Amino acid sequence: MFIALGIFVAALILIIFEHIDKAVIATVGALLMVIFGILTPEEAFHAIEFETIILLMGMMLIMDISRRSEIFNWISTKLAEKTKGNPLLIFILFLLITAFFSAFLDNVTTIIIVVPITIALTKGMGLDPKPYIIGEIMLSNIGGALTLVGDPPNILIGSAAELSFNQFVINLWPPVLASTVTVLLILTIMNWRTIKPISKNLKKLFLSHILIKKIKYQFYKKKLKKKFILITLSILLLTVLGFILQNTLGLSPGIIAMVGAMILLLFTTKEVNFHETLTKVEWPTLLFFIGLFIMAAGLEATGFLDFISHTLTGLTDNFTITLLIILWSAGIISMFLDNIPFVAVMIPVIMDMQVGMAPEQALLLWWALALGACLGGNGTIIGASANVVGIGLAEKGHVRISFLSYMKTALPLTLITLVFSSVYLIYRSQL
Amino acid sequence: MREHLSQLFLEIEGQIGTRDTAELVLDALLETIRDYDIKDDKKFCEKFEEVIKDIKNTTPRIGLVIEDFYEIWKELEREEHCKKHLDCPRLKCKDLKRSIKNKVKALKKQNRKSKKSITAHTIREIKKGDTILIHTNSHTILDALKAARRKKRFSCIVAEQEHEKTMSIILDLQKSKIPFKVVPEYMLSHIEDEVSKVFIGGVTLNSFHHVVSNAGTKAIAAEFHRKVPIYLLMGTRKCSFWNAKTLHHSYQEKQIKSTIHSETTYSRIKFSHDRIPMEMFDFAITEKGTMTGKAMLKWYKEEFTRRAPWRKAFFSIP
Repeated sequence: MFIALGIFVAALILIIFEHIDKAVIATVGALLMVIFGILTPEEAFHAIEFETIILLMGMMLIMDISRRSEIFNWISTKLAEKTKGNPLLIFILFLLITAFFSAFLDNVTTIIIVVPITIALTKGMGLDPKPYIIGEIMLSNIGGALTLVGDPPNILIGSAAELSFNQFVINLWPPVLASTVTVLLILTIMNWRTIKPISKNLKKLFLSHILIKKIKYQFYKKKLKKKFILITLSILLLTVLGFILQNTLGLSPGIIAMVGAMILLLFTTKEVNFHETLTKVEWPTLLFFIGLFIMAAGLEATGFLDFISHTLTGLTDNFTITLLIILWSAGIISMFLDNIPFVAVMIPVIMDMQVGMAPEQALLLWWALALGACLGGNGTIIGASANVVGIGLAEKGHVRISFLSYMKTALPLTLITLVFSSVYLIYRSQL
Repeated sequence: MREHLSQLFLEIEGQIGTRDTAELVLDALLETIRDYDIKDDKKFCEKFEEVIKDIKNTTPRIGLVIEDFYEIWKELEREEHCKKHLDCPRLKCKDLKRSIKNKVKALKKQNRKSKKSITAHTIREIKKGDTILIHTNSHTILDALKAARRKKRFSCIVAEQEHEKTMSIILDLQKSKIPFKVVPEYMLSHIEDEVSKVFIGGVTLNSFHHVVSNAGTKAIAAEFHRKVPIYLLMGTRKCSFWNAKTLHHSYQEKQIKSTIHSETTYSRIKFSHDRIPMEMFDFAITEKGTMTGKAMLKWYKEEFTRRAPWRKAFFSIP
């Protein structure tokens, strides 16, 4: 048990320090589990959740082709145009579109789409882009919590617990909606001085109109391929429809995503080179997931995860408190550590805990884990990949957001969203 | 706001050229006037004067933009005069807005007309079998070449500069089916004999009698000076009729470069524009027609003197 635990903890520490690529660390960790005889090669192979890998791969392919069609940039440019340079509208619309995008795209992709255009708009207008960027990062994580494909922890949970796309949306919309509205409202109040409407400020209005025209010019000169956009949009919608009708179709989300990706590739052969698209699949991420699955299986094989699950269930007889422990531990750990390894480890623990429980109760355990992992990631700069990427893009645009300045805004809001989730879970557990 | 405007103008001008920058600014002004939610005409005038003040103090000043705003300012002054001296009842905010809108529309029309004239005069200058060397990503030049292609057979040599700008020229030439070849700007000496004309677009002609153009153009003008005719393609409204502050004023961009293969980092300085003495141009094609470089300079000097009163009136506003 100690060797497996040692390998896992060492891998986790190395992942935190980020000196070595986390895909390499996870792969080496997985290999060590086999070398030390904790798992046989066959067991290691069976530990890989191929459903998750296929789902991730399918979504990565769909996202890369969609990005090339410029559809998301088109939406962002149109949005900027519609705001007529009104900072309040830019704030609200860009935050909401971030939440919406990230429910269907991965959070990092969403941030890569919205942050650069936000920086260009706000900086050009002489506004401080920080509140906008912080808001977008937070809403990307909150929006991502809504669906099966919105955030990697949800993909992991959904695949392992065989939860459908609809189950995620139906069960998670109340806390996600409450968190979205509250975060948006509080951030608006906090930053009112900088984002208030400018319709009575001629100078700022003029500046913002010039800027929007510049952004429009930069975008429209790219020559949009209408047919490509139409095909991409149609197949994207069909894929989402596939997720919604998952039970009726009798197909897993991974297969639906892969079918979507392949249809998209078939219909866009003129615009997209298959080999080039394949290189855009984040193979290191997939390798990281494979490594994690094997390491988690190694820990499970030693009985360590049983020990954790028994300790958790033994802490209290009260189911509601168990839910809150899962939610808050996932939330707090996700603030400082990568939430993916944590969720990968927690999946077998919850699998074990749900034995003998009523299905409704068992589901709540998964929702607690999903909400904690996704929303907790908002707490600090390092809590989620979207945060790291967002802060990096900000720095590239000469906007410095320090660890503390981010935390000062984000941590209290994260705690509020976790409180909302707690209230929701308590309510659901009492039904 | 002045700094933001200056930065924006510099960026936009670098991407789309002077003429389109002025057009973009006029369009933005129309939309601003439409969205500006204020009824107090006095306040409106005050605020609008502040905008004009910022525009005319941008660095670098873009001649065409300044000229447009001068015309708009004159329109406002007329309204103000009407108010002060004739006690005109029609000075309401909506009337002011309407005056500005009408003036902007008239200016846009005037700019379009100027573009058409330059194109027509350029077509006349291009002869069958010409090989025209181009470097600046100037819409004035590219529009004229596009139109000329429908009537005459000629080819182009593109002096390769920054990738994005060169690509923009290449795509335009390909779209217009103009035969061309690309030669790096530092290798032009090898194709000197092939070139029959050099076309250069101008941002402005300033009080030092220098044509401000894309960075790299001066070297090209020097290379071909007295060898082949060098043409300046520029509308006269782009000229700067104020005293330029410094002779050499380019906007430097300092970059720290590093390569993947070595740890070496070095400082790389880029300049925004070149300044070419007007004497280096053999001809100037403007909306007024084709004239020699000397004639253009003579016209500019006369116009500069004639404009002294407006210079005083417009630039003396605090």
